[in-house]
Amino acid sequence: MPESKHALLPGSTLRMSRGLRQVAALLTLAAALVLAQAASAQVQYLDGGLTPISGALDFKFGPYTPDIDSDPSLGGATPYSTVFGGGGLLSEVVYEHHLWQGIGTASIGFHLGFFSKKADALNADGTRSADATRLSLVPLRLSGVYRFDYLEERFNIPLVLSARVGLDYYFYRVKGGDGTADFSDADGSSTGRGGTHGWHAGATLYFLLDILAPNMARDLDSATGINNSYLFAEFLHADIRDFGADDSWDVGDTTFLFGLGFEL
Amino acid sequence: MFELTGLPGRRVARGCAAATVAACGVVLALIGCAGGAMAQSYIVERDISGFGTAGSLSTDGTILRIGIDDCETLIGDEIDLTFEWTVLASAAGESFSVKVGRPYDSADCDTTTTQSNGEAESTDAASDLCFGAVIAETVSGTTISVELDTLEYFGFTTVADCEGTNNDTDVFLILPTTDLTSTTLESDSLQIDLDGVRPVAPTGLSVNAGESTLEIDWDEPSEQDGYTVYVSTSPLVQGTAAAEITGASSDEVTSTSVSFNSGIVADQTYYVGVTVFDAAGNESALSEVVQVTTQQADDFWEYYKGNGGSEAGEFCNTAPARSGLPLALALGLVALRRRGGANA
Repeated sequence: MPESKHALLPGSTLRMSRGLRQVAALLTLAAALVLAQAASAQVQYLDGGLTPISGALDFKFGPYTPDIDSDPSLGGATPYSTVFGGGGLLSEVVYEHHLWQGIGTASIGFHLGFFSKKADALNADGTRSADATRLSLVPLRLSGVYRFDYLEERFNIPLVLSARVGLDYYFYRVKGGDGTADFSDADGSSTGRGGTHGWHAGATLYFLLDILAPNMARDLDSATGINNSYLFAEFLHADIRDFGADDSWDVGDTTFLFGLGFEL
Repeated sequence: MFELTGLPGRRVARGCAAATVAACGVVLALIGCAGGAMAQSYIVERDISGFGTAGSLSTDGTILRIGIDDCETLIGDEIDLTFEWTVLASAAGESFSVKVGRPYDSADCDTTTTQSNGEAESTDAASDLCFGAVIAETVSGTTISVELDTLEYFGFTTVADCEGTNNDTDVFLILPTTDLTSTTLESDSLQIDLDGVRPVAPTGLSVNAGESTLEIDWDEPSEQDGYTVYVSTSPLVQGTAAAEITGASSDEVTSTSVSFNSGIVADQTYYVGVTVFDAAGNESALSEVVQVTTQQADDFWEYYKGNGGSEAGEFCNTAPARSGLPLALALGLVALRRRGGANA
């Protein structure tokens, strides 16, 4: 068995003490790997690493369009599309803590995201106002994750497939021209600030970048504890509508995210 | 007319060309105006790399701008200037016959020439007689201070003289050059730019009124160093002097497009005008005035709720769910905990 991250995982005391340095080195790594010579002839990716692995840190970005207009109570109206016109960028950072490693790796993932979309408010005649309005979302997710990294470990195939499912809570805030939006009618008043529960499921395909610059990857591992680096694409389905509650909107979406991942 | 003591008939090198250049590096420092009427700092350092090789002053930085308001303050007061210079080590401790003066308005002293790059350059004046001394002293140190009587220096007698004309003049520091026994002189100057002309008011003003915001845009004038936006619920009048605008909210900005939301409410008529001020701080009269009325607008939340949106705006939705998933999750957790307890 080659020098494996599995063999180094149990009982290590190194992993926590290096956390800060690992995080600080992530951006450096990203730039360095892009600049690395992808055409390196004697490619042999770094299987495992010099330091133990306890988890993974992913940074991902992708288009996101909250499915607010699907709210049945809107009666076919499309307020989100009418006001904002389209989607925006969802950014997320994810830490996955490995719980079990065997044929693949089981982890628990903690996600923190951000989405914001701004547009001009609407006058009564439908024209645009000088006032601006903004919808901001802060998604929090708790995921159970399974990473099928067996092929990478055993056969040096630089692909890892993972699947995740979990619970979500999205903070949201809607701003008007003079602060947090509010609304009043005969039924009462409400403020454009709150949270919505939901769930998500997703699948991610990782490509191991270490094969492009194995020496650099090894040096990085030695210096910072970052064992493996990945580019990845993720399919995400987020159903964020309070599990179907009557007085809830859906701020979920089905989309693809892309990003950089690091095993730490 | 004052002749430089002990140095009659010597050649005066003027300005920054300094091909013959400085025996001493010269630093001009404008300390401020008497009585605290004005506080400015101004330093230009001359290259003191050696005799005959000194570089030139940066004349772009040798301008003291005095606007109308400053001028009015200075009538009857003085402008305090301190000139500093640096000498080479070999000249340390020596005394200098120093003169601070102003050029006479004489054709004999007008020796402006054109450089090879096409820029105008003041070259050697015919003699130091071209300069009227404000002060002339033998100085053992490297500084000399002078008070310029504003009224005398600019010929102003009343506050009203400050507005309507530009009045530029130079103040020269005249020093021996090359070495202490030199037969030539070196001078550096500070331009005092008394700007008494107000800039032209901005044009092309347009205002887009929202519910609580006014988007205000105008054309950029040729001369500007900033703008003041005036917004009032009472009528404003084009051409009004800025000092006479009352009862208006104002905001100083540097761009020609601003969002004004201070105190703006829906369904209210506003009058909007803009002034521009120049580098000397002179503010123009009020531009054309635009009248707008704010109107109700729907932000996203209002539009969503107004269309029947059901989201309640709460952090914890306790309404009954159609889905059984939360219940299933809760039961699953309870079952897991019970199993864990049994195993223990």
